Amino acid sequence: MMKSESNTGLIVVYAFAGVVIAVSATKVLTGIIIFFFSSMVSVLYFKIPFKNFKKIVLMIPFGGFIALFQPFTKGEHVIISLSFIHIYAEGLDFGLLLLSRLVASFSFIVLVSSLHEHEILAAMRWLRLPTQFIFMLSLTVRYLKEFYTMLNVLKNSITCRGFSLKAKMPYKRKIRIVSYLMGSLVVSSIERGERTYEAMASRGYSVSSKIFMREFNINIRELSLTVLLISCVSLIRLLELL
Amino acid sequence: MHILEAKNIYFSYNNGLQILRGVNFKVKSGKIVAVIGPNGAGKTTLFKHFNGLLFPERGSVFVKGKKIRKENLMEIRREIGFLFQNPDDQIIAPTVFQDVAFGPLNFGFDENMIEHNVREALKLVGMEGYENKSPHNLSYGQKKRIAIAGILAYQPSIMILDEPFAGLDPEGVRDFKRLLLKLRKDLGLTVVFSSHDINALLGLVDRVHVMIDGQILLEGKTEEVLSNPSLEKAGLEMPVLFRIYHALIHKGVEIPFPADETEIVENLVRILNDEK
Ligand SMILES: Nc1ncnc2c1ncn2[C@@H]1O[C@H](COP(=O)(O)OP(=O)(O)OP(=O)(O)O)[C@@H](O)[C@H]1O
Ligand SMILES: [Mg+2]
Repeated sequence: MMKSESNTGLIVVYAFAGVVIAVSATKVLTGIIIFFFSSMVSVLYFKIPFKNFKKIVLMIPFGGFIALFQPFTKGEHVIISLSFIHIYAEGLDFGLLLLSRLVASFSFIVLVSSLHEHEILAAMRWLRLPTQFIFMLSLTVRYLKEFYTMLNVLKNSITCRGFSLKAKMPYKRKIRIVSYLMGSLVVSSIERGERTYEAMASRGYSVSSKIFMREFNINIRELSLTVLLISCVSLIRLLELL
Repeated sequence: MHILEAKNIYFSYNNGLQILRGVNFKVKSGKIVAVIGPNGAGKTTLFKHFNGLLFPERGSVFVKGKKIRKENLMEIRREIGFLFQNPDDQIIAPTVFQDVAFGPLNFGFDENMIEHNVREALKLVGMEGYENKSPHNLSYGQKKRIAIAGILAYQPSIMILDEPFAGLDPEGVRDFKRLLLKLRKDLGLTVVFSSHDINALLGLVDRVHVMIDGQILLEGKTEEVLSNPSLEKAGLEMPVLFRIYHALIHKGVEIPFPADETEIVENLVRILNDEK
């Protein structure tokens, strides 16, 4: 089960890294075409739940708003002129580029976040990233949520005793309480780090330790899809350079 | 021969306070042994000497007859499974499977062996099917089981458990006792653990060590130590069963020393019937 999941992760990460590179190209339209092509293929092939895409739709207006203004602000070549409002070719180009990059980056984030962290780590392992790096990342993945929980515990403990940022009290006192909070967070993470290190040492941790990951075998279908996606991306990028 | 032995060890942390003051400690292979004592007595500190997390200032510790040194730490740690009090400190990997595989991987097990051992270990603690779950979302008791599986997976011969019952509900404690007995029976594991739950020791441990102020005050068979009146002087408490027994003796009721609740109840019923 984990095998095919990891491959999914690998391929999606790979393909979309390619897409993001591709849309950083100067020719906007190619980027958008590649984006739609590969995302549709990925969505269909990997059965990515449609609800993940809703998040993108929600995010677009934010960046889209900025992109929308570009045609009116930049450039020398006016293509449309409505009395005092001019639409510039360069601006339009830039705005579209911005929009497509935006969509691509957001989709990348959404797609990646639809995977489990360990699948991304497995993909990194497959890409032959150094094991120490992956080990540290694994620890981060494991403990990030713990620290967030810890922060919440601390925050609750002070709010239960009547503290809130909106409470009526001198600004200096608020700052002091928040810095206490940060301070205890740092102290408790150092202590936790110590204990975690001891627990790791007890299970034979050494400099060469790594996190267990299965070698995975990509099947022909998945491999060919990856190759197809990546070569499309590279081909169009290449055509642009000519 | 003793599988684990501490000979007259002394230890102080950097602040100079003497925490262990001449501790002698011996465990025979295949035994389940408890260390009890008030907070701050030095139980955790002592345990950390058993796998070389700490080294004594004086005295030495032997595992399977080998003295623990900086040079043979890996060899020693391979023999010892150490369970920390808080499973969140112990579980380090993003998935349950990866975490349980951490030990075997470090100790050089091959891939097939790792797969096999991880599954067996998860089965032993009743957590099969959780392989790809993230530890973050598990309950405290489940995390504790995963931490145990992470030890069992490299097949140590001694388990050192620091307050394994803390934070478990009564059902959890019962399950855990059953698991320890099973591990001893099936794998011949030696278990040393600390506990504040005196009542949980009955029917589980062979011997009890009472630690006070960095020294072993009492040591012996479970019933003998736990019914010893000097326990109360040391700020500890007898199990309810033995307190009832002592109270009855005190009131002049002649009753044989009970092994468990049913025995004391049966004896009382018999006495009551005789009086009628
Ligand atoms: N890292 C440390 N640095 C300095 N002193 C420490 C350190 N760890 C423990 N101590 C001190 O050593 C003494 C013994 O602590 P230890 O944790 O061994 O007790 P314990 O018997 O396990 O207690 P508990 O039942 O509360 O777990 C305590 O007084 C404690 O304050
Ligand atoms: Mg302790």
